[in-house]
Amino acid sequence: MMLVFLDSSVFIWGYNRHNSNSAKTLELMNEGKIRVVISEKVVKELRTYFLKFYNKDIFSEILYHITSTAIIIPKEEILGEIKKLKNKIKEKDIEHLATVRYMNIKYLIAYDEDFEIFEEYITPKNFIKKLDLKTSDTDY
Amino acid sequence: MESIELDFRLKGDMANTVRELISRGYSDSEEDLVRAAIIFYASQLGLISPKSLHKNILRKIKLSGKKYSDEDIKQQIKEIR
Repeated sequence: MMLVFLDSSVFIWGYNRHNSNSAKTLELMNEGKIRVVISEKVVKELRTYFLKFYNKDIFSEILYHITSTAIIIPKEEILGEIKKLKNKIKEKDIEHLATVRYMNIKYLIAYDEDFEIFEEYITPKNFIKKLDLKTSDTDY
Repeated sequence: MESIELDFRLKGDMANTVRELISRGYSDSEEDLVRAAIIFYASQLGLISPKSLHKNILRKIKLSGKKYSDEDIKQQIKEIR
């Protein structure tokens, strides 16, 4: 099964816009067609987002969903990769990319232009396209 | 609606694990962690589907009555980085 890394932006767009390409990516995760890997930082970003812009109850539901479907890589496991990337890329992106490199993942799916410099980066729309599935009109 | 009340004590390694999971942000409270653990276990056994967990989120987001524009969401994502 294809292993992919999902950035928090995919979860945020997917939960907010149920007809988006991000939502389609989450559906592929639900159906077991892709195996999703995330970092602890993704969990932290989702926590910050949903506590700030929604509520605690919704964040709890999100935790139930992601802990039941995704592989979460603890920060301790990727310290070696983090060290290699230190001072080479933006601090906020290190943990994501370190997880991708540590797990040897081909696709880092995100909707964030800051990731464009990484060869693994792909938008939700291009990912859906790559799988020959019908895309939504939105880029996210 | 079916209801079960739980009242129990966790000690030693189990208590340490609970504290560690909460400090890592995997749950906001001991009660919620027990719920998350039950859901995780049930999903591994195929008793709860990821699709139904996903649907619960969409339902609760709708119930919250909050509607953000694309521009709002882009800005919100920048804020949490």
